[in-house]
Amino acid sequence: MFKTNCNRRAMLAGLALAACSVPLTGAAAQSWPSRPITMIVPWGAGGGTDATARMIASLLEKQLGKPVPVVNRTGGSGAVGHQAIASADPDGYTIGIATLEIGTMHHQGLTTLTHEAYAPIGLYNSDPAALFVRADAPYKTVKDLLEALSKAPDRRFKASGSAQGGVNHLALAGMLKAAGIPVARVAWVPSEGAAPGLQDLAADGVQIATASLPEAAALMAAGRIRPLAIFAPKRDEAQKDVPTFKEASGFDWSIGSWRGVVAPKGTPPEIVAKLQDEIGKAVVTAQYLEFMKTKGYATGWTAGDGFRAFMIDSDKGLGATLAELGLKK
Amino acid sequence: MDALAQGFAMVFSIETLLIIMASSLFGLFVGAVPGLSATMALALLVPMTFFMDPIPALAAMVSCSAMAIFAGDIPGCLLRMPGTAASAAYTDEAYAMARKGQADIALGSGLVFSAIGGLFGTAVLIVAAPLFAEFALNFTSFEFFWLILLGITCAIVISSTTPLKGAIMLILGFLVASVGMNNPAAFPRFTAGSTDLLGGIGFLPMLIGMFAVSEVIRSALDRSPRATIIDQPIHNVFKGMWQLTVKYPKQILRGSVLGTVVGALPGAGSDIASWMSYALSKKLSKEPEKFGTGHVEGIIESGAANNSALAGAWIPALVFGIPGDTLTAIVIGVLYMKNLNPGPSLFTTNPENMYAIYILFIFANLIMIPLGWATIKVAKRLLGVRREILLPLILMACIVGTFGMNNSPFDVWIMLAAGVTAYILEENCFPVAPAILGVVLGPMLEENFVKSMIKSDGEVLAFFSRPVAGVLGVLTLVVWLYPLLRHGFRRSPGRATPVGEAL
Amino acid sequence: MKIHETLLGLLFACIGGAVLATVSAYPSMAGQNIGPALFPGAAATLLIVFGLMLAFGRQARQSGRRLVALGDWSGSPRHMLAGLSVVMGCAVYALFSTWLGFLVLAPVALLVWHLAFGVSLKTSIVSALLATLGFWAVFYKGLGVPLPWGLLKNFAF
Repeated sequence: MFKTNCNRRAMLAGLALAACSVPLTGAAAQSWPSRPITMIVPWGAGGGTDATARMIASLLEKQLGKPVPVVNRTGGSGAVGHQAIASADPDGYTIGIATLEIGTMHHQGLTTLTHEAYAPIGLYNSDPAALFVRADAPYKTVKDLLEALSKAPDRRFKASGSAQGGVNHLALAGMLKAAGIPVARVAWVPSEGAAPGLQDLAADGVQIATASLPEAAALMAAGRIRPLAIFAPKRDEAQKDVPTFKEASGFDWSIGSWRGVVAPKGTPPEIVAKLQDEIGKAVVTAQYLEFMKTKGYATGWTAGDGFRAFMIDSDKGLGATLAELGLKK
Repeated sequence: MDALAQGFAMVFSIETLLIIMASSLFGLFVGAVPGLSATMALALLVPMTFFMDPIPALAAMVSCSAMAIFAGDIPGCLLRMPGTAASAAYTDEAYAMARKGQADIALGSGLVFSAIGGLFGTAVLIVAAPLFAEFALNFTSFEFFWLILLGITCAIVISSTTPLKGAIMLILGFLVASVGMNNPAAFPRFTAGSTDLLGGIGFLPMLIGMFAVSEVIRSALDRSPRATIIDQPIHNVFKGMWQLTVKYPKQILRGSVLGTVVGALPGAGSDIASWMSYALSKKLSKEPEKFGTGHVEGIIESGAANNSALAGAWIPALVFGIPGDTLTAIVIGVLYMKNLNPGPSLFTTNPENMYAIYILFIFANLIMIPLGWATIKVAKRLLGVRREILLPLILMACIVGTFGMNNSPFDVWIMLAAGVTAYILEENCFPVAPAILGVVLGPMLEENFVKSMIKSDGEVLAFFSRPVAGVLGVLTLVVWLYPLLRHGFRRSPGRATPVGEAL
Repeated sequence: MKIHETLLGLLFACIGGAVLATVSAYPSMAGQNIGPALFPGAAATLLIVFGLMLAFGRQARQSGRRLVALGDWSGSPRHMLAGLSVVMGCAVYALFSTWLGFLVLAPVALLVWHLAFGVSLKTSIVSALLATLGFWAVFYKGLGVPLPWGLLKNFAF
């Protein structure tokens, strides 16, 4: 019983393989999608990247009429998942989310992977980092803080908000560099993500923290910490009274974590174009916009070549900041 | 109050209620089958919760663990094999009662007073957790460092019958957790160039290996004959419960209080609570000579204690991220997975989630009574379930769950390695619980130590400079030095018997 | 399976030594006074101390003479087979599930385990098939877990 069962399965499978292996190129793109599309997320379930990816996946599922299961491949500060997307079959049935770390990991010598391993589909979110101090701190503006920093001895000030070399660490280092203060002036206290870093700020463990505005919303509402500026070219829609770093200090510096949809390099261009179309439609639906707004995530859509140019830019900027910090290998 | 309403809405949605129902039944089943532990029930649930929303996932955890702890009484009473470690303290007592034909009273008091203890612990959780959280908002890495060290010390010194082996397991846990680049320096450690290992050794595969696969291996190699079930008819289990409540109010209260306090201690959980409570009950009883002959008093007290400890253990787990026992260690893993990172800010960022957890605890302890009643009704059939059919299914669930979470064959290897290692070490009397505490707490300990060192520019005295940190630090050192001091003063050859030594 | 405490203790001490040797090459953090070697290094030092305590402590001198004593399963081929099937099953799944697919591999694995645990052939077949369908329904359809399709990739539904 068991034997025949197995043989029949193998035979069926063999037949199917034979039938499908003949017309694989042009026709494959036309009939795409004919089966589920896997979306790989390099970060954990429940986080911001995961939540937004699942939203897009569910909309895509509705539009394409095929399941779009989300797979979390976590670990290695994103290296594992980014690698998994890059090494998937470029047949249009695996896509994934690339994040800012694709521009930092290879500088740090963690992987050889860069954005060139992907066919860009589109950038859908970018949340700028912001600068925080405790609510009762004597620094009312960015200028106050920078002045205190330029006079203080090295390592008097401690700051936190992300792991060593994480986006918020780079935000702070970039700020110091832009203001002409040596990067070693502030000691970075590494933390597992923004929340513990902000908590440490609230508890008087560190004097400065960097994180995005939505991440800091609860402690801001509780009146324990205060934003001084955001590192973005323009002010945040929801927090209009927080100035940009340039407005507040005169120095130019912007940085933020970003998320975009990519496919492995070599995915047929017709399929990439179709994905750009469909996801471009998904990210302007009322359901998506409402979701992003309630969670406090910024929205937007930069498809294809624009996204590629953005990644090249981001890569260069991050590399320079990492080199400044001595983290570049 | 808006958050409270939101909490209610989250718990009483159809999806969550269905999940509560299913995981309750699962917990009752696994708890009641001898040889399958409450920890195993939770470990098997973890892959399922991976694909749920946060609140349903927590609902599954809470209801499954509460039910499994109670259901562990059933095989203890009828087979003299405790279903879970938390029932072990009074297994002989309950078995003696069953032999006297009082199985219904033993099981009934296990059920009713478990629920009462659970509700008491929940009440304390609801009152105390937010207070602690408010206080802990002012904790920096210095306080957290000492708190974690204190928890680890307690786990080894108080909870372990073999402190040396416990300490070795803890350190193995530390080292396993060191693999990968999830450390403050973001430096890849012990990876041997493997991308899979960059992310570290997965916590959940390890958990499933240590608590489920090792059990399957043990059962596969087990040659001992089946235990025989006591064949006594079980009548109305609720009969006489009111009289018992009136007769032993002090015992119920004492068990609940002691259970909650022991549970809330970082590093001690419901099994310790139940042993301590049973011992205390015997010591303070008017009829200590009846203990061990089938006397219900101790069952009432420690039955209340083990379920109240369950809720108590959630206090340090939620507020500080420090697990009290293996069950909360798993819960903490799930919380991180759901981005509900434990810590004082959990209470300020998502108050509705906290309310949902409180409601879940109350609800789970209430539905325990009818569900538990039904389980006792079918207990004999449950105990007769054929393990040789069950075990392959459990093993497949382990593999599918582990593989599915990350779609990674590598995780299955980790699960297998953890299972085989845990089996061999347990055979040699190494406790597994400290290892899982080490895995959870090791990275926290390192992170807070590194943060503190950076903040203090390497100055060790700074670890004592903040008032709360100073007190915690001195306390930790006292607990460390206590055995040495005692040894120095007494020089007696016989070591005092720790609580669990009666095992 | 009982292993002599001295042997286990020395094994732990060796693990500690290997860890120490590995971390000694780790660099310190850029711009910080502390590095990634400190924590595992401290843990490894303790492990060496505790391992030696275990190896030469009172307990070790009291425990039996045999270095490794197998459990009573070593006398029963059926139990040895059952244990082996558990380990092999996990390994085969890790190695071949992506290629073969869940629906091919699971029923075979379940069947082998049932038989190895001493269940009759008829019950084994029924249970293995039902359980495969059950897992499929709960995990793939119910929870949305992407179980591997493997050989049946083109029939994916």
